[in-house]
Amino acid sequence: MNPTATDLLQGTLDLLILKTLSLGPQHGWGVAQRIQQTSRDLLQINQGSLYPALHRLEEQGWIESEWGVSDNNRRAKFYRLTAGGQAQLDRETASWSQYAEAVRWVLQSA
Amino acid sequence: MSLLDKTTNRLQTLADRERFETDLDDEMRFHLEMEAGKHEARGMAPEAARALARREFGQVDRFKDEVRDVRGVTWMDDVRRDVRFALRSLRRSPGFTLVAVLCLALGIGANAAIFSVINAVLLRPLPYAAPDRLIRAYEMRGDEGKTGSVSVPNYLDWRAQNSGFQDLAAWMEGNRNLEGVGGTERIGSVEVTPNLFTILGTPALRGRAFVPGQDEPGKGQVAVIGEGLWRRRFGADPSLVGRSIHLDGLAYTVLGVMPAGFDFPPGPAAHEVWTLLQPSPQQKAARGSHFLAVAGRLKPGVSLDQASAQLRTVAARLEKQYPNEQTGRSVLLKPLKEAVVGKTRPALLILLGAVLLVLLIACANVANLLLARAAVRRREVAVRLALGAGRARLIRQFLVESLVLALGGALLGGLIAWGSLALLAPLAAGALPIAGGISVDGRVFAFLLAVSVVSGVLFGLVPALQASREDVRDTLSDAGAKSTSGGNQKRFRSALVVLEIALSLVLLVGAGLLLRGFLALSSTPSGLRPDRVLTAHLAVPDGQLKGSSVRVFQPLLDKVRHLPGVRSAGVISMLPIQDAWTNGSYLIEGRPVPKPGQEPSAEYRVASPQLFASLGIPILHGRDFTDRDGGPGSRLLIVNEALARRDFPGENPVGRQIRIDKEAAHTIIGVVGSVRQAGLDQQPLPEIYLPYVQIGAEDWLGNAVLVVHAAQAPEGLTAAVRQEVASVDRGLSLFDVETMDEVITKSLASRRLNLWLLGIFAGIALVLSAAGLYGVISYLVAQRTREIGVRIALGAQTRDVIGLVMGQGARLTAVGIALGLLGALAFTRVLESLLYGVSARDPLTFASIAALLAAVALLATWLPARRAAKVDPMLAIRNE
Repeated sequence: MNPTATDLLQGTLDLLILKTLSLGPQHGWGVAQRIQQTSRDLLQINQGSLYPALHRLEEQGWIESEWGVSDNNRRAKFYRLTAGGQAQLDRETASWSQYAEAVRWVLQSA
Repeated sequence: MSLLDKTTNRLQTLADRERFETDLDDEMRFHLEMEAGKHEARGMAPEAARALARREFGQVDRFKDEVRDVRGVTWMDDVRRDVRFALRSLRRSPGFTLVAVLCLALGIGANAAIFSVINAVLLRPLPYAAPDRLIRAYEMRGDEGKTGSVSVPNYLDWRAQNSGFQDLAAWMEGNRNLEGVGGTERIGSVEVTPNLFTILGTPALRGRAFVPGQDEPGKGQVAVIGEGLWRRRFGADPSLVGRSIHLDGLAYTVLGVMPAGFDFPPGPAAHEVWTLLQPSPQQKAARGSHFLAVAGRLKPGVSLDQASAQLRTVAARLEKQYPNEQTGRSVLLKPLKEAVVGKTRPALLILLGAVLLVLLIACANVANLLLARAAVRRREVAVRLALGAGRARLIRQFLVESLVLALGGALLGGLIAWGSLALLAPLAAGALPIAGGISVDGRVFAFLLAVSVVSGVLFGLVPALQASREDVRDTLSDAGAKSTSGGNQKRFRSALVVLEIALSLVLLVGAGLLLRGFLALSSTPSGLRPDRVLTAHLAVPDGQLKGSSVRVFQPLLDKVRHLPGVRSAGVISMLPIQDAWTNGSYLIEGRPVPKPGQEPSAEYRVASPQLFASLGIPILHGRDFTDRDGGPGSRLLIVNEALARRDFPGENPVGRQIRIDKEAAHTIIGVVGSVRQAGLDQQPLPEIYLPYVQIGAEDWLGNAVLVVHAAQAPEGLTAAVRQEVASVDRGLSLFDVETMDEVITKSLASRRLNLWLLGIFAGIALVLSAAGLYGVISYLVAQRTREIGVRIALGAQTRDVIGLVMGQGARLTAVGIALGLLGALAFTRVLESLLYGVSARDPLTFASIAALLAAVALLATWLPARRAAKVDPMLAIRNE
């Protein structure tokens, strides 16, 4: 396990969830797996904390949920990105890139 | 997510709490099983895989709690617990709960009732398309801002020359006899210009309404009818459209049926038939003959002020063009809604203010009860604080208790409002400018809810804050538990009672002033003798009056006069006390002609012989009309005292001549006493009576009123008079049969309603504040039991003890009354518009109301004082 992976910046988890769901509806475990895989296991999210985040995003109307059947024929709750969520994702992505860019400039100038 | 969605979501979660929990459980279990499965697939033992998954996930319960927080479930659970707790604790003290809920129910119920009326009359928009763009247009005379009807040529010129309105329509209200299978029925009717319905924008329910520019069948003898009439008389028959109905003996083709709830013009009277306005050639030419009402729809983007300025320039042009008729006449525009309800607004707002005061008093009362209760519950609070309950949590819990009380009050108050609206309906009929529609709708419900929440916080906050400030150690130690509560609280409770007394005084003074004004008005001499007078409107079929009204009325009057029990009978074009809008100008022979616009003007009415005797109007000089008057060339009239005094001061006007419409001169043959034409609160206006035999008089008698002076109770004559009228001509009928007393009573309907309502509210306020005073004094007595016991033991007499306690009450009462008098002096001025014949600072009212309140307050303090005097000193001292 990578030691730097445990601390996710506040709000970053939301961004990662939105990004993951923009690829298609997914249940909570699927979201966790996907984030882990696509970050090449560098980011290991705290699995339990995923759920308060998912519910919060649904409260805000950025994602919506529906009970469905998983690949292995189990009852699972699937989350899907809403139009508002897509807009939020775009905003967040833009501001994240800007932030990362700014940090990189500062670091490179030193 | 919108707020509404969120709320529904929340409520769903609340309603289906179990489902929420199982879902949450399932969701997390699924995750754990998937994760464990993944590890197993990599070759782990099932047991170890599950354990690892659990470790990776973290504390399930903690995350569940977080989700609950996010979803607002935690908050709802707490509230639910608080509500349950509040209900339990309220059930434990049913007496307190009952009194508090009753207080609040009275306050909230009164508010809900008045708000329902305000909602129906002031807030609900008129039932037309974009009703706020509909504007009423009046002719305005002079600078006094007197508004009046519009003549046909003026209407046509306004319509052609204005640029601020999409269109202007005109109408004239009346009544028609609807004949047919169901018998003859008198219904409210309106003659309108064809563009009216286009301007209103309300589509017909069946068929169509009038369309401007369209040639209507049957030479314009077409009608649009109301849904109520359609249902009542024609069984909602869809095939009625295209068929004819008979109005006043003429056939009209029904073009369409308007939807339920539609009426025009808006007002207390219902209209069910609309026909086309067909002015005669004379009317089209008579610029000085004002009888049309006009309204229009503003063009988009044009403001009322702009339209007003523009139409005034049109009026100014007309004034120059036709100085004889138009001098001193301009235009006044008013939003249609304002024209309908404007006069009622002040009274309704005053009543709303009054019920808010009642509610404030009720809140003060309940706050007082809660404080008394908090004093008893100090130990409970202290224990809970000692056990670690947060103060915020305690405050919330007390507030929830207040809100539960308030909602209970709102529930009962809603019922009270509903019941009292039903009781008030007969009083409100005729007193409000909009008939019907007073009901509890969503807006009233929202108001009810808002009022109860606000009052719950209002009366609950201070007791809640105070309770949470409890000093734990002090209260729990034995000495503290019985010690009196702080001086702060005592002062606060006294202040509440003083406030209640002051507010009650303001309300009582207001009600007292209204009562004085009403009594003054009721005893105002009307100028006529109303007792034993029967009045009835005469419906005469169209055309029968043409040529001579005598032909119709004289045989009728002869028959009625010969009925046993009839002293005299006459006919008048319009009854006094009701309204005055038939006025015109004239010239006095032998005097220089005044400048245009400066001519004297008077009310015109047409009367038959014996009219004055029947109404009990004295003939002061000269004589009454007789049946021999009239005939070609004979032009006579009678004036009233007000006109005689204005135009012929110090002279006897009998024999002088007056020129009306610049035609032949009329000779004054008599002077009669003045009557109050426009209502008891309006001074008599100068008036001219024309004899009904005169050529042209029939134009005035389309809505003539038969007046019969009876030897005994006039109601007994109704049937006989009706029969005689029908025996003269089958087409003639009577409607709106009332005694003159009833006519006068009706004219006071809105004042009576205001008086009743304010009186009831003031009464409630008095009872509430007396109860509040009683409660506080009782409490103070209870606190001082020991001291009183010591005093009695040391030899104080009953009288001394009663004096001691009552002195305390008297001080509070005196301060309350003093503040109340100041408040009343400041606030009764808003009542001025509702008062008649009494100053808003009438000292007699102020003094007697203060005395009344003082007496009630003394009674409220005497009861606990007497109890105090009966304290057994041994018991009182030992108990401590």
